[in-house]
Amino acid sequence: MPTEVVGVVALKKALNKYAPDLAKELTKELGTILKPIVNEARSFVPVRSPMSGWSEIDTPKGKFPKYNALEIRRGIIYKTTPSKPNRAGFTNTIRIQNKTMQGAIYETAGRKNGQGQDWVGAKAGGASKGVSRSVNPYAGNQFISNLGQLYGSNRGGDHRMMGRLIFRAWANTQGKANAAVFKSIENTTTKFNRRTSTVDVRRAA
Amino acid sequence: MSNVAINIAAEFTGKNAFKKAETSVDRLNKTTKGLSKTLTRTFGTAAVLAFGKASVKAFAEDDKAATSLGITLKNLDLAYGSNIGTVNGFINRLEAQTGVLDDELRPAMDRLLRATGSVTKAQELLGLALDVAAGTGKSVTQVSQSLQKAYLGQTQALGRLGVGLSKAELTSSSFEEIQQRLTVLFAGQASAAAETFAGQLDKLTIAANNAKETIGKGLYDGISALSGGGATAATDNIDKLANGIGDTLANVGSLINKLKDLKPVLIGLGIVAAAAFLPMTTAIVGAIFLLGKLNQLLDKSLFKQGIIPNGMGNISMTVSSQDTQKADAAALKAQKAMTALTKTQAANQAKITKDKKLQAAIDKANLALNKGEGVFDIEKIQIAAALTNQAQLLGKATDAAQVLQIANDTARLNVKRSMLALEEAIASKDETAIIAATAKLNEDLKILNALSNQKTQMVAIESILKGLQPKDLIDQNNLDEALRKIREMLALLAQVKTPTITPPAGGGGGGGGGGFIQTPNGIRPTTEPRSIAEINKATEALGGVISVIGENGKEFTKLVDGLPPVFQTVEDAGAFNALVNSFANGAMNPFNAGSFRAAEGGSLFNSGAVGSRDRDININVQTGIGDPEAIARAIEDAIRQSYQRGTSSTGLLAV
Repeated sequence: MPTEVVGVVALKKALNKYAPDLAKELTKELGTILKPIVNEARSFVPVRSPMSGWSEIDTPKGKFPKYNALEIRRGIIYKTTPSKPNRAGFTNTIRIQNKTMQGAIYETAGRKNGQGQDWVGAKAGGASKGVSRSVNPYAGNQFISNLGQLYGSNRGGDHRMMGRLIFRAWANTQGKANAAVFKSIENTTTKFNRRTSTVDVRRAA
Repeated sequence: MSNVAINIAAEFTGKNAFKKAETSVDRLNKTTKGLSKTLTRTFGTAAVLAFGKASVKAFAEDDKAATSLGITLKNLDLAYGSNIGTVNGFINRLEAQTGVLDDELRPAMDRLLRATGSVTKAQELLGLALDVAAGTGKSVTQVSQSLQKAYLGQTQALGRLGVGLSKAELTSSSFEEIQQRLTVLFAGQASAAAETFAGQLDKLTIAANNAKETIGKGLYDGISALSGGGATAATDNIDKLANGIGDTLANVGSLINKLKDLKPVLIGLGIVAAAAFLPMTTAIVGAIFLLGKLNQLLDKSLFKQGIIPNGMGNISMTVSSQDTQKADAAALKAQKAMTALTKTQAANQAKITKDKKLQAAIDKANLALNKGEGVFDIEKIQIAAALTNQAQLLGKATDAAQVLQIANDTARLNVKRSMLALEEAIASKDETAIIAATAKLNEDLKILNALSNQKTQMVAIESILKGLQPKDLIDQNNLDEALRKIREMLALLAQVKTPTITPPAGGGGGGGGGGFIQTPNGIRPTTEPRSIAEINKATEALGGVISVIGENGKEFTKLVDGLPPVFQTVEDAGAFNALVNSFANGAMNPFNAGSFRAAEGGSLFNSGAVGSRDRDININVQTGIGDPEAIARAIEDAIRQSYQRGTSSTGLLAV
């Protein structure tokens, strides 16, 4: 779960406006922390498709995306710019993303239901998307078992921090990266406060 | 675009949805204003009461933990002097330094004391536990438990913390070595964490908790003193205090109601007072307004110069709490899913067992069927019967359409037979047999295909019919071969030069050798017959290949070992003698023949190179087995044709 931090957006705005060098320094520090995690997550992407039927030929978007290791790796990134507010009104300021559809599938498949969706078959009626309509009753189970184990925290049954790529890399940091990010923000804040206070005092003198 | 992301830091900025919600809440607040006033009074009292109780409870728990630690020290014989106070003091200092609550530190210390039995060692390990906890993100309780187990020899729990030590390292190293390694790996983590903003917040929390405990202690002491001591009395007094506060607030409300009656008098007094103090009030209000305005102008001026008034201030950070209800619901859902999965697995297992039993029964049945099939293959029998029937029908066919139909049916039966053969070959896993059976099936299918398409191919039909007919029923080739042999034999016979018989001249008396004379018994040579010795001599001159006449003139004695005496009398050998003479005179060429019959004796003998006048020629006619008429007709036809061609003199053989 993200840590709610008050004032980071304002800090970044202020840094960009009054101390661009500190803004660059903060971005660089965050990159130093997050880049290894991104690289590690990219290393977890299998070169070949984990299932023979999930071929590596690309297809137009909108359909079930074909497996493409290169594209998945390219889609794993980190961002330090504030996002648009979500429906709950929260702006994400620092994040690691797995952007591609294929990557998202490989990352999260089996997170909600480790045995695959309930099977109803191809001839079942209705338009529900929460069920398996494959002719193979074990399709979901076989798909998930071929993708391998999920990593990350499942505390309290909350599976939202589990995955095979970025969440795995994040779990491997054991919280050190999280602490390092906040330490970096705090250091920058301190420097900024000191600098603005100094200017104020000098003017007063 | 997918939305899989790890959001490390988020900030509530508030947007339209929240503004709407806020408006709605405001409206609700106005509607329920009167109610909220009442509730405020009630909850205000309750809040005071709750805080009081919580404070006392916090103090009680803290006191209990401290007492428990003291008892542990006593049980371990470590409670000498002021040791209990020293340990508690150490914990308090540690709490202040690291920002970790004493609620965690005391049980951890307690645990480590029980494991090590040494205050110094326990303090050392507690410090290490704090470092490891700060470094790994695990709780102090978890780390201290792991260290306790590792101290007692179980290092697995320590490995699960992810401290960077391999299983081999943990099992092969002593605890001192592990401790040393951990001390190096996590040096300064706790103090560093305490210096962070989060650590400072923790310290603030600790201060608040300690304040609560202190307040609780004060409340407890005060109320206990009022009630003469004892926890029960103190609790009763807290309830009484709450009731008293509530009554007081109610009395204040009544007072306000009473003031309503005195409202005109109070207004009048107010007007008089306002008139008296108007100049001073106006001056104070004006001064406040001017100061405010001046401050605003100053801030604007500073901001324009790139200075943020009063700096950014401290950035506050708070960790959002877990949604308990969501977590509970998720846990319940997971539990239900697990139960359902267990049921499904049990059902599947039962089905597998049932299927296995059924499969075993089927295997047994198949075994029995295979045994029966070996004895009585109804399918093969049916095909053979059908083919026989087709053969009979072929004999009765009168036109081409019937022949074509028979060919069709026969081709189908052949296909079926080939399929069976192929199945058997596959079952036997014999590669050669499979290839051969496949080729045969393909051939049959080609023929059937040709017939099915109504493209009558005479070659195909001929091949079908040829396969249908028994090969030894009418074999023209063999018959031709037999006739050829007959012709050869007749040609040979024609080449035989029979001796010219010249009637003897009347009274010519004994001319030269080689003449014949007429006697009452027939014609005889003019020369005297040769003696037996002469004949034997002539026979020996031939190479001694055959028997000669014995001394008794009646029997042949064998001159060659292994040859039985065949002729019984000299008369029997008459024809033979003549034959030998013919050979001796060069009148007959030797040839191989099968069997000869002596003209006189009628006995059979086998011989090599001989010639004869009277002989039976046995011809093997490979035809018409079971049908003597057909054989007779075939032979008769052949001989007749031979006679017509002029190769046979009589046209008949001896019958």
